[in-house]
Amino acid sequence: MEIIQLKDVNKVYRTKEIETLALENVNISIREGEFVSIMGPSGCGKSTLLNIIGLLDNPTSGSVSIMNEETEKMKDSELSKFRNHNIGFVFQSFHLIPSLNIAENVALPLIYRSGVSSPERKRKVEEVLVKLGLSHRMRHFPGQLSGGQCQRVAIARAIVGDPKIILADEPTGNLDSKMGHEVMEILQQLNKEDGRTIVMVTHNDQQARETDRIIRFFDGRQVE
Amino acid sequence: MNYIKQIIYELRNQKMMTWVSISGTALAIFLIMAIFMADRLLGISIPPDSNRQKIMKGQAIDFQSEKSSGSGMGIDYNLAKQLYSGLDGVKLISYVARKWGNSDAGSSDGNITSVQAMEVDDSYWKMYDYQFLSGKPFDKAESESAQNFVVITESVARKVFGEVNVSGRQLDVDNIPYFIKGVVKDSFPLLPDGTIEVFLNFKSFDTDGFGEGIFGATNVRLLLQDGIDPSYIKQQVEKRYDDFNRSQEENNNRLIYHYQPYTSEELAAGSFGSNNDPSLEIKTRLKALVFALLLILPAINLSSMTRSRLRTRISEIGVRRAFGAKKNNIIFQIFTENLLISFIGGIIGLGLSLIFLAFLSGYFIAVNDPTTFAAIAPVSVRPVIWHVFDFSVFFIALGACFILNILSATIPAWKASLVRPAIAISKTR
Repeated sequence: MEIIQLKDVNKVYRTKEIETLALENVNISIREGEFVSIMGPSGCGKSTLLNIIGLLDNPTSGSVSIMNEETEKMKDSELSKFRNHNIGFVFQSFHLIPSLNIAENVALPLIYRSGVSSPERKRKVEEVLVKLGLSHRMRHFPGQLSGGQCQRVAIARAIVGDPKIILADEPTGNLDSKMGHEVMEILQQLNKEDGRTIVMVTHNDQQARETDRIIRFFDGRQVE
Repeated sequence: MNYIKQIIYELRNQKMMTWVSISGTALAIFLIMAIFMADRLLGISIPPDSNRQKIMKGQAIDFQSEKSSGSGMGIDYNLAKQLYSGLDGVKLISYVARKWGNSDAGSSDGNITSVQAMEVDDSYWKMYDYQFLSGKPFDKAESESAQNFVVITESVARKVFGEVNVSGRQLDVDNIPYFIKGVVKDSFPLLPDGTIEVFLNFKSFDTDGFGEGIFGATNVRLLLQDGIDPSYIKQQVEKRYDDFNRSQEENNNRLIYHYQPYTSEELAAGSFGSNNDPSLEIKTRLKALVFALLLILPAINLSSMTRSRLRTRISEIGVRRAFGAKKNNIIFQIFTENLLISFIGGIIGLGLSLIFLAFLSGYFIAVNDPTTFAAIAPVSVRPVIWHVFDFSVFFIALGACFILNILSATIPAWKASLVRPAIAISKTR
């Protein structure tokens, strides 16, 4: 079953002086439970594609269907709710909120989800932090953690709301090879054991080869 | 809870910006509260003026005739009686006469001191709750007798005699001997009679033709019965003016009615005069303008500060949006955080305004002689904070913080909520 479908997607960035074609006629289908990596040189549109799949940005034209839901007519509040329930994000630079401790950072998606009580939220946060080996760091702040630990916290935040899709934008880009390997293992585990669909942007061939499929981009076009 | 953490984090990591925001708020709240409390001081109801809200005053007259016309802050005693005595809804009427300028008070063998003096009748002591430290007020018979009686304040007693137990002794006021009936505790100087130090028994019955039966030295105090609307009293007095004018039609004499007697509010506003109508509107508008400026100007600065603080958090806003925060969530969060900053600033500002009132207000609050309008100096004004601080003051400060927050956070919060998540996340810290 297709969980992500992009049809004839174009993305154009316009300024007064210049028009930049970031994505050109992109057609992608990703099946449920698939682990897909997206590769290509810098500026080829990988992150733009991930933003469009993650409903963080709109395509200029074309359609985006996630879990059989046509997203282009969704209101902003509906998109927020849809993201909250179905999509988890992992960013290259972690994007943890420095004023919140680890438990509070992980709890973020649940705070914006109605119907989750405080005890339930606490239980779910503890559960994912135990799963990722970070239960002893719950009360620490992001500034007190290593890069690898920060990325594990970011992964915990991405999965705490139990989304079907995880979008990872160069999740190992800021990590050394050992920590990068650890993060890849976690992502593999989330894909194989939990059945989550993962779309990962990466520059690392080795890591890309560990995924089910590689989609290559060049100058906004899908080349493979 | 997380909002408080965010503020603590910003206080640590964006010290300059956050403290400037807090200081700006504190300064705005300080100015607003200082003005509000100083204004409140001018209308305060404390002993001996506990009945202040129920006391109305008739003290000016505006007269036109063929021969002459004029206005003044004092009425002929008989005319005052004609206009104000026996009104329905009045519990007590008192006649007083403020002495122009200062008088010399002293004992034959003691010090002489310059004092503010006023003639009062026996009803005055029933209308006002002075605390007698020794002796008692003069009664009706004494008040109306040809003899001279006086009640003095504690400070005059100490200056002249060096003690307060001086009832029964003689005090010379402008070289006229008076029998001291009692000594009262000093009043708070900002009360209408707060600067009066010597109370003589009322003698201004006859103005010796000086005021053509119109002008004189008499002022009238009316203590209203509970629940009586001041406008009801004004209506009756206006009718008395009409009656007087009808009786004087042949002589072409005419009194012009200027909505007397004045309420304590009208007197505190200071917008009355012998030849004009009292108006609270001008003062209310002026106050509204001052408060609006004191809120809007700092709000513009605080708005820029808020925007600067948010600029460094743009990626955080993007992340929150990515994980499901709606625009409303972002707006609410920014408002709440800003409100906390406003409250911290508000508490500091309120504290500053109380310190200002307690220790410095004497330098700024002018005390005028209501008869001559001349500044009375030097007067030490040391208001007790609890005279002006109660829950309503706290709520005014709270309200001011809230308005300041709305004014300063609306645009930054709205702009932050409009940032597209993808763009916001791409902004590095």
